[in-house]
Amino acid sequence: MKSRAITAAAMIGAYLATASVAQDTSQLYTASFNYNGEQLVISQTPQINGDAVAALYRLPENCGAICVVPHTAAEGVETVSERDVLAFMTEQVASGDGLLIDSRLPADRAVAFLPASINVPHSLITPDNPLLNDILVAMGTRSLSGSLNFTDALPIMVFDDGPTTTDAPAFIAAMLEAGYPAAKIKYYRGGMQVWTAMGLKTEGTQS
Amino acid sequence: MNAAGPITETRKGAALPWIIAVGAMTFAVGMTGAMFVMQNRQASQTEMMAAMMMQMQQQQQDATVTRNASAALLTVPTAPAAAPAPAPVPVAAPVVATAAIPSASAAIANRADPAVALTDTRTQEEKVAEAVAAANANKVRMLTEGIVAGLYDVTNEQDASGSGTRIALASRNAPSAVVALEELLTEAIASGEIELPDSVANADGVVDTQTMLFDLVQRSLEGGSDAEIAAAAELRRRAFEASTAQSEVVGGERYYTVESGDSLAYIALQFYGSTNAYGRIYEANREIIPAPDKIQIGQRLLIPNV
Repeated sequence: MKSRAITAAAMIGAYLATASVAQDTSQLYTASFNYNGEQLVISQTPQINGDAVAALYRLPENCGAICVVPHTAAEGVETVSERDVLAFMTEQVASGDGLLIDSRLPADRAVAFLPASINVPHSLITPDNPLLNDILVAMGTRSLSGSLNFTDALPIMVFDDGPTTTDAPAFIAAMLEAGYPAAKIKYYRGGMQVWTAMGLKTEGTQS
Repeated sequence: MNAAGPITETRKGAALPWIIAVGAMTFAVGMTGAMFVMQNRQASQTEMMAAMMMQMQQQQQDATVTRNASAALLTVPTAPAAAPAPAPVPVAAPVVATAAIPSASAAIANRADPAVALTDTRTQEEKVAEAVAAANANKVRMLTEGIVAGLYDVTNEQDASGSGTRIALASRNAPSAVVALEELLTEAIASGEIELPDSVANADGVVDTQTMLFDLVQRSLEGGSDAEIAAAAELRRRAFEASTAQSEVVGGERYYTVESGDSLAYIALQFYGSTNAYGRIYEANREIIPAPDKIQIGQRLLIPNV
């Protein structure tokens, strides 16, 4: 009686184990889409390049351990994960209906960056930058003698090095200040650090 | 790379500040509501007073607000002249007059003062017509004065058919003037007294009096004093920002697809905040639009310089 119960439990356990393994493989990240006339394929590699991940961390001195930013960048701005980034790339960036924005300074971007992303350094989004209007217009905003209408503004997804850096939160705060609707902004908090640690493809000097 | 600062935890379970804050908010909202109701009541009283004054001084006409487009609307309609006049025309007020402003015309019609009749050579009908013109001028003036004072909102709400939103002018000081002027425009166009401008003609063939009203008010303000010109710019800004019309940018150029209810003037209102700017869209799309009133639903129009 006792042995039969153990066998049954073991069988159920084995079944659950295989089910969860099967689920894991089905969750492997992959995306394929056309961007700027070329076919981009993003997949996960089993070999994680530790040096590449380490290069994206710069430990701040004023922190005992690694400092992290809050989970949410701003009210109404959704925080998203890698799966959402891949879906955004294939469904919106590829068709020109959305922009994946690298909010880091060019020096940081030179290390590595997400495929299909464009660089808009957060330092450019300031009220006194005369080019701010042009930047907003390039994102689809309508502009007429100083007035802005965000009806056609494109959905944007913003990232930086990752949870230890504040470039993207700063970018998002400045965009909201400029009037960009929070509903059109998404925050990929994992950024380059999590992306690289998951073995997802990057571009730049390290790729 | 901007590094994140240390995390500062704030986890104090003090409920009292919250209760105070919520209480304060409720009080503020209540007060704002009460103020708004009072303001509205004052506005309608002012309007009633204005209407009464107008009835008493029906001869005092003010033509200064009648400019360009508004002139057609505000001139005395000479109803019998247009008709072939076969039979003696009975003494009746023009079509526009009675329905829109019964109080004014009725009051004047009842003023059968024999002393005045002796010296005044005008017929009863002419007097009524003049009173109506004065009343219309008054309504336009009330509306434009309110706009100069900023007493209005540009709304963008679901239209009657529920197919989308429409930009509308919501006057705070003279809401009934808006309604009356819209009725007046509808009837004047139906009776052929004023011609529907080509730019306002939409793809459905339905008269869009709201867009005509915007046109009327904007033209009236744009030719006026510095304060009125500034008010016209502010009205443009509000209309531009209120627009939810969706367009797409292809190769650096913005395109808009004509929808039901659109006229060139209304599209210009949505993208430039001004019905007057329809010419820019017309010029940019001459190849596909033979005339300003010949736009079709589904047409893709280039919207320059936005």
